Amino acid sequence: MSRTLLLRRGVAQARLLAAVLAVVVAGTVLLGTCALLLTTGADQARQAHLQDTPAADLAAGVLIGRVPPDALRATEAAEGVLADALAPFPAPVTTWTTSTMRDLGEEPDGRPRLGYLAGISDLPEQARLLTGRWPDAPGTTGAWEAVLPARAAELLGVGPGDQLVLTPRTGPRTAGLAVVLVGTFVPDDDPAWLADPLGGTGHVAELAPEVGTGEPEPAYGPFVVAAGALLGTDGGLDEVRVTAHPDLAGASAADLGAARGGLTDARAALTTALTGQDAVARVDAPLARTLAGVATQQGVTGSAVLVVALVGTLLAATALGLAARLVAARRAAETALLAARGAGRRQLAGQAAAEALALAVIATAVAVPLSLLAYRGLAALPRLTAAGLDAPGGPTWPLVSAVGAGALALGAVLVAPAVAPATGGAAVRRSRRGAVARSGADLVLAGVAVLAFLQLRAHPVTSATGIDPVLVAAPVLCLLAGAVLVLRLLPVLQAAAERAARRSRRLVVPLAAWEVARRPGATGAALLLVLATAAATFGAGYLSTWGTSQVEQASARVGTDVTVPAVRPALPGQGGTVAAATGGTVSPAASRPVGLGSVVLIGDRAVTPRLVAVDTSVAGDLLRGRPPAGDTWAARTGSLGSAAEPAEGAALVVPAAGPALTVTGSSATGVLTVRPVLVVRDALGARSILTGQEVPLDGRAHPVDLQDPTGVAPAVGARFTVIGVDLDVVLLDPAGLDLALPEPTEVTVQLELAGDPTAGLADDWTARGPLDESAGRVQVPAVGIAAADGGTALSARAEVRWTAPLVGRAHLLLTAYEPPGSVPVLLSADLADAIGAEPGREVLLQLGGSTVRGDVLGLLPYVPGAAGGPGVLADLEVLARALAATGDLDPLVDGWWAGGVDDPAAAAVALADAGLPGAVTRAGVAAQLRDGPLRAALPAALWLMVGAAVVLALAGSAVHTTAALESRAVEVARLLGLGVPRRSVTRAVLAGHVLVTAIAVLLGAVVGALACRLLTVPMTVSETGEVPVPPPLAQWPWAAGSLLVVGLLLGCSVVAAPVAAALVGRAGSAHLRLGDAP
Amino acid sequence: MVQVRGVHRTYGSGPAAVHALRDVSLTVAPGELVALVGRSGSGKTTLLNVVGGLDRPDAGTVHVAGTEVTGLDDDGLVRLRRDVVAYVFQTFGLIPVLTAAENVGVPLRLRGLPVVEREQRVQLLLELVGLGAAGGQRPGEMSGGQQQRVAIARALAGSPRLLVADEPTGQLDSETGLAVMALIRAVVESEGTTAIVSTHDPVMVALADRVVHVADGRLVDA
Repeated sequence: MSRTLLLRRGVAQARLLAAVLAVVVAGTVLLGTCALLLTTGADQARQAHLQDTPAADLAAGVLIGRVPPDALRATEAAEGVLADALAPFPAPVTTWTTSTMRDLGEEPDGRPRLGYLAGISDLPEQARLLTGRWPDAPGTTGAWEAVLPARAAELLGVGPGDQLVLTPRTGPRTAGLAVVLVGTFVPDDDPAWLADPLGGTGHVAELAPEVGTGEPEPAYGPFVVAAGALLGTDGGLDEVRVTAHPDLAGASAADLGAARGGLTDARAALTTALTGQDAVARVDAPLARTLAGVATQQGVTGSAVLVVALVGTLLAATALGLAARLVAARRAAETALLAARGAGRRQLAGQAAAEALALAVIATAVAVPLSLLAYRGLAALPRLTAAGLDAPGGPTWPLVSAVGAGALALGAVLVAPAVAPATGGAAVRRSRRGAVARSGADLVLAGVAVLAFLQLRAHPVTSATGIDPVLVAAPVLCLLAGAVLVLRLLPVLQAAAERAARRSRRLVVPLAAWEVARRPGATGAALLLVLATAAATFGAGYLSTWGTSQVEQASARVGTDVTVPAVRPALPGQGGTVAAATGGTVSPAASRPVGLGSVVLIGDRAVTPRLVAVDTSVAGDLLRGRPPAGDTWAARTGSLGSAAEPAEGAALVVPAAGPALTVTGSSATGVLTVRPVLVVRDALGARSILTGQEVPLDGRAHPVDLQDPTGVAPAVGARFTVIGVDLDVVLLDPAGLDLALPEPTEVTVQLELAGDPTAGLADDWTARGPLDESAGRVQVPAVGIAAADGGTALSARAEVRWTAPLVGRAHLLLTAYEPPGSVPVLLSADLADAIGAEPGREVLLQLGGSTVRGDVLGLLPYVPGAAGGPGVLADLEVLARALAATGDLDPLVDGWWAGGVDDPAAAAVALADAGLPGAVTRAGVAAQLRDGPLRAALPAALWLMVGAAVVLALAGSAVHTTAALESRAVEVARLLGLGVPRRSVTRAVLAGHVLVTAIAVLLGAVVGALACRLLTVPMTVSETGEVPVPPPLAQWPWAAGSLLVVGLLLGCSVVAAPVAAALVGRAGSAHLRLGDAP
Repeated sequence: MVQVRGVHRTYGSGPAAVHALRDVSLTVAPGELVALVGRSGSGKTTLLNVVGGLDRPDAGTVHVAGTEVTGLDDDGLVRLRRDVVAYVFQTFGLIPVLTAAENVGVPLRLRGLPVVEREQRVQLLLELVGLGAAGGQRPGEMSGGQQQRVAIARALAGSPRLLVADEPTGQLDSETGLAVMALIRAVVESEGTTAIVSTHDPVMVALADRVVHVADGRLVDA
């Protein structure tokens, strides 16, 4: 047929072709929007995510742990390796050099103190200068200029202009290095300071020795000298840390992939670069982990978007198939005429293809700007705007390509029905089973879908290399197979309709039932409606399952409503600040790595379990996350605290005049001193310590100057509850040069605490020696508490047997309770599997340098606050008591947990204002998991699918209804001619349509619900591509699902109403002359 | 039974207007079989449609069984076609997806007859037209003659007083057409039904009690 005739026919059938074009455009707009989400959107999301990522997670560094004599050369080699690895990006490098600990004179009490040097290349960006100026490079002679943290300077009593000497204890240099202070500074709140030996605090009262088992000593520093100065020295360096901070602004996926690959190769490159330099170094690249996480997350999100694109294309193709049949039916006479005039199938196909191509071109031209508009609309949504999505300036090549390809593919759907032979009219009785069912193709498809589903279930971890084909193929195949399979139920339903019609006395419903049961094409829209309903309800179900899983993952990770790191060292009263800021139930919490006495392997990975300890007496109000099935957190953790019987404790109130603590002691033999450490507890159960100076056991009362862990004396009026006292008993004159053990001695110590004389009297104070008896063994301890003038008096008497010559030291621990022999714990199931533990077994818990016994009471699916890895849950007080019995007085307060918080966001702000920054809220983590830049496209795509399914269902239903009803014009006229009222005819016409719609929509809802139940769980993966903790539960959103089903039912029924009314209204006597269609 | 007085019917307007009926007046007595004869486009079908209430005249009146058809509203016309007038179409007019029995049963369902009674009457009617064993067949599975007989059975299902047939044998061969016309004649005589049949068939003309010629929208003789 000539182009002219094609054009004229197109004009004559403009409305018909416009309907077809509308369906093509709807499908290609969905494709185009998805293409934008996968390309432009993914780039924008990646950039937004990287912008929000802390700088520490975007860094890549080299840590030289054993610094060779030529530190400068090693450092330059490390810088070169990093530059090569991050080659596509400019990567400024910072260098942080730390010396070994050096002697820095003596404390006022004669104890030696330590200091150390550091060289920080970007110190002005890491700290705020408080006084003086930054140091200049040292000359060849004279003291080195240095700046010191203000807190250290205050405690040392030094300032700008003062000179100190730091003398190496180890290394080749023995001469002291003189430094002159030129200023003081305050470190910024930067994670880089965590690498500092003192954590940026400037002073630690008791720094454990780096090697050996020597006594802890007070340490001060760093004395920061000019950057690079230390690298020129020969030895005396503890570590050099070279860190690169690449500028990733505008980075493409390819460049980021190249950087990731470079960092993977950096380890080997570093080894090569440091060959022959006697250095031990390693690459520490958080950036590589960050980029891997980005790739995985985008792979997961991209897979979901692709599912939406494919399902949408299927729907569009199905709707287009209906439209194509409408067109073919309209042109049946014309096609028959052309065939009769000698037109071959190839000619007819060519004609149809030319028209389809024209439609595809027009659709592309229309769909590209509409896709941009749709994407702009999505990007304008607050959730996606916050995720960094922004509409591109104009069409992109991926957009045009996707839309064009989609339009061509959909256009091809129009060709086949145009050349298919006529299959006979309504008069021909045919099998109710469709062609697909008769061929068995639906069963083959179902088999493939089952295989895909099994693959999906066995494949929980997604690849970090992009779109996951299993995540994409399985849901598409399952939805399609389900929709096609349920159509096998139609003949059964049609037969039932026939039986009902036969038994009825009336006409309207039987007429509708006969139409549904017998008219070919009456159920032609069924596949579209089933698939659309299944896709829409599945999309809503997946959205609900995924959204709920993000909230549950956040709850499991955070463990409670709000957590905030404790300000170290833990001071009494911090808990009160947290309680005031949050208004919730507050508990101190320990969360730290724990050893179990052997390597823990999960799979083939060695993992470090994490111990979480909280006040389990408030677990019901505190712990969040899905509890073990059929249980509550309160019930499951209730027995963890049973080993900690209540202890009132003795009161300590700092008086305005006089000492808070007076120590009087004596020993039968030898010259002994005792240094008391009071273990105090606040109202929330958080522990801290107050340290006193050494006092002689000479029978006289000695006032003790107490200091908190920061070295500051508590304020007048400060109140404490003393629940324990650690007495460090030292023998000043150990045995002489003959290495004989000192004679055992009986020691008596009385501690008078100023405060409430009635507090703690009812407690059953106990006393014991430490577990480590390498220095001294304490036997037959006795302790008592009694009221005294203005307070209480704790008395202890013990016999000390020295167990090592030349070292006379023993610890005596007094507690207001009986220390537990073991700690009841709950293990995560994966940890229990890994170590072969089960309830009733004992495990060893190694925390820092201390070990306590743990009794396994039970297992948990996960430990709140330690989800995603092996965990141990214990009661904080029980654990602290058990550790204290070993001599470990660590307060164990790593942070504060608050549950029952009404406004977590406001609480986080209040905490920061109160000097407790870094709060993490469960709601905030959930929002990040759900709405983070790399995740936000997933729910957006699912909403697109739901919307597209509804639109295509309505459009396809309207097209099919129009075609189906128009073919019944003659029949309608005949019914009218028989005396059937118009409204009865209209009702019969509509009833048939509504019957098919209802059956299809309900079947589609069943398919969608089944798909939701089976597929959404394995499709919901964490941002690392693994099974989330806790594992997701399929969620069926009854409200949204019901709304969709009812909406589709009503909508597809309503579109038929005007068509039916118009058809019946138009039917007249002229139709009575017409015969039946061929 | 039927009185048509001064009926006019025009389609379209202006120069292209088609005057299908011009001042037509006709009287048909009860139990009479009247044949309307005329060329194609003479106005036969329009006259039948006006009498049966399928079309409204622009002027004039039509009375059927004492009821003024031209004054009826849509509901009245529906009742007329359901209770008084039955149609037989040239193209048979059967509902394609229904069986012969189901087609015949349509008027009975309109009246709400109980199922058993309806099925008995349907069987009776099918036997009357010689298709007692063909009730389960669909129109597409029947010959033209069989279809037309089913249409007649359906038309008789409602016990109409007036049977209107528009070229009932137009698509049938002569032998079949004769059988159909004989059936109509037999129904008229046995049931006392009045019938107006438009036809080209000389056999039907011979079987009619009266022949009315229609030409250019007018009756040549009434």
